[in-house]
Amino acid sequence: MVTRARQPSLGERVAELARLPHRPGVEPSPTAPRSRAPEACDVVVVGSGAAALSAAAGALGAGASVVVCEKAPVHGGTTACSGGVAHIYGNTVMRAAGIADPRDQALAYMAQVSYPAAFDPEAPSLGIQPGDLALLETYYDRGAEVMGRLAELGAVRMETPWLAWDGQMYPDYYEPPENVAVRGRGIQAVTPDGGTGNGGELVRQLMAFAHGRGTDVRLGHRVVDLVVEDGAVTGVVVDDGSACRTILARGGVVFGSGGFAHSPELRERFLRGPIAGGSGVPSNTGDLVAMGTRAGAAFGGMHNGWWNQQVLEAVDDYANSVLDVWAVPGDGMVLVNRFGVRAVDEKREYESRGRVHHVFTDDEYVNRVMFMVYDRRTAERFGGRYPIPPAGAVADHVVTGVGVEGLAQALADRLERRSNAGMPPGIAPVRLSPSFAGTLRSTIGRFNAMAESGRDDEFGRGSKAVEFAFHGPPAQDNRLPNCLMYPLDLEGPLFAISVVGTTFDTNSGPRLGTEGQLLSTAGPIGGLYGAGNCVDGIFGEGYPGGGSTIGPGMVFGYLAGAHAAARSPRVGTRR
Amino acid sequence: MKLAYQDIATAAPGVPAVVLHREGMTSVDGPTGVAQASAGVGRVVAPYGDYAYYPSGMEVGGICWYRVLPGFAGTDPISLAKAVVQVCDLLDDLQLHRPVLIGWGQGGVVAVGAGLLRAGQVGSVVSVDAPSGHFDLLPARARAAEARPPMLLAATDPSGGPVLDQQQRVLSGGRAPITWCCPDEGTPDDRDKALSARIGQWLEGG
Repeated sequence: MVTRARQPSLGERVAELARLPHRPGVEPSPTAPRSRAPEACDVVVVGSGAAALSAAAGALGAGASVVVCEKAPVHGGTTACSGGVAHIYGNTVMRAAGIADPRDQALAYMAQVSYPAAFDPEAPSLGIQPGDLALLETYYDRGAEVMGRLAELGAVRMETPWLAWDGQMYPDYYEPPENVAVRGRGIQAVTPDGGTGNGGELVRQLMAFAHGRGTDVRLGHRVVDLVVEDGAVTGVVVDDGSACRTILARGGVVFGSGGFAHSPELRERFLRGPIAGGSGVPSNTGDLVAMGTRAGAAFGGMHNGWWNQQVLEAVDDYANSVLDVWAVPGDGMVLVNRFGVRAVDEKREYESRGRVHHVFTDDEYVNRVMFMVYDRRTAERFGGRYPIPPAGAVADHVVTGVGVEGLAQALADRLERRSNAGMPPGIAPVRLSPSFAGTLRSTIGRFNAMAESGRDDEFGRGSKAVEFAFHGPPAQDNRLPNCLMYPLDLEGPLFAISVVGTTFDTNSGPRLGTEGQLLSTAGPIGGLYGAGNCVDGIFGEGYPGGGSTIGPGMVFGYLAGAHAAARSPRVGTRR
Repeated sequence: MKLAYQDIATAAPGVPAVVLHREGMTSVDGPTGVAQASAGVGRVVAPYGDYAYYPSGMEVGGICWYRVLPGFAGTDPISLAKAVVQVCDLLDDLQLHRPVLIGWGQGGVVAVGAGLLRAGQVGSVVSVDAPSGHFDLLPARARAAEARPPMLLAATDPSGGPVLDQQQRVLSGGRAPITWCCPDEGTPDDRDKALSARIGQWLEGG
């Protein structure tokens, strides 16, 4: 057997050029000589995204001194690349708009979406584990309260609605039976001039608050170990790029350090299915997994992530939110697998599309690479909406052929080259089925007929509110009954873009207590807290709506920071 | 991922130009037009940055080359390094003969970074209205390069001299860049014409 030589990816070359201090393969720094006593503060916060900075705000609001350690050379984590939306039940925006959000219905929705296999509305605890329900209850009960507290402190006002292109509030992502999609649970930061702030603005405001309260924010500082005394965490060991030093934390350590989407090893160990990585920041390498294990943490579901899709050619890049397939643009477009078969409603949000790559059937992951196929009309009308390139552009990630057979040949050639050059870690080589062209012709033929009738009998395209929000303005020439569908021209130029399953980040890690404590099998681990994507996500395998990543990160981050602060004798004395 | 680009071939002889747009663009027509109007420019290749530009909220206001955060630390140097590598890859793929790299705003910073890393391959670099302070964020290997192509640092704002002086100091190692400020306010079209004329003059060695 000949082992294929692998070329360094774009991301690896970028990490090398940028001389990232904590890039993979770089040895940790030596331990600094113990020439002086280690420094100390009340709360150490690890990371600088929304979860971490909300933890800092919670601690600062309680009067604690805080040190923030961020291993990347820039602050903000994945939050700063995002829309900055928080999914909060019964928030101020909903109240102002007169949108009711009753507790029982909200809890049932969260439980059903998060644990669909176990959910039973008639069973005790809704059929899910009592501890999991307790977290959802805490989230419902305290989410809006925490947002209010952050506003009172002057940290950030999450009081503007997340609006779609048509001015409507975004709906939730799922419409389980007997439930209409609720709108208004997604909220964003208010900018100083009264506008709507994205993730960068959310981070800016939280960081401004932290700086204003004297917080020491250290970039390029990677927490590599915990200081544990008598079973409780009392500090951290930090690698600043030149030496490892100890920082003691009188109250506790709060992790908001991101998941492990950018660790191929942890992905392979814990996730099921072909997962190519993540579109979050590249520093999401799962640092808490090893440290939590050493501290005796009990781990929750380690198989969960915020599912998504990325263009095959983009997964090796330094990641950023624009490089995920947030929406699949176009009406005359289908997403098919290597057999030429549709497998999903293409207009659903990223989470539902991302999940379809995990399907194992006929002895393989049949959807491990899928192909977004569209025609010239769609290329022209939707050009510039990623991943469709601007009209007329030369784009390496787009494969072109005339007619179905021409496209199939070009795509087969591309896949052959890509498989020979090496697929991204976690994705096995893929080749088109010999029946691809014929099946694709049939698939598009059926799609075209359904487009004319306006009814997608296979996947219900156009039947969910969220699809219209993600699709954006319909093409003006599409006057068919369902503006999300339009017949493809089978004989003219056809285009294909390869997409793979990926994540925003994982949301798996140590189990969480209702105050943000990390749990061992015996209960909370003293002084150790977490929030955001580094811990076992409260939404299990679900993604109830936009902001499901940032919302719990902020709420449990804030609670963790406040709880850790209260453990500090210095803060306790002042209180 | 490789950068997508517009490739505007021309029958006229001239130096090939790689045009890097300003942040917030949805089209490369404007910068491409300035390059085409410059005497001595032949084929024009205009790649697109692949970061979304968010002026506010979720509303994507076009594309850009690297990620800038509001407030404090501001700019993500890794994303800037990525853009520089992508442009270097494009130069390697296209094998243009001694092209001039012309970049606006963020594109100017990326053009300088790519020019410093591909000094033997690039004919010259023109940076227009690059954001103040961003050359400091270029990868250290680029900033330390001794072999440098000729560089013109330009400002379309007549009062842009102090910013250009600061940029010139940052890039002072090796061959010092020269600077040019648009002499008159005028309309945007007037400034574009003045810039085209200056680029043409620059390519002729002036």
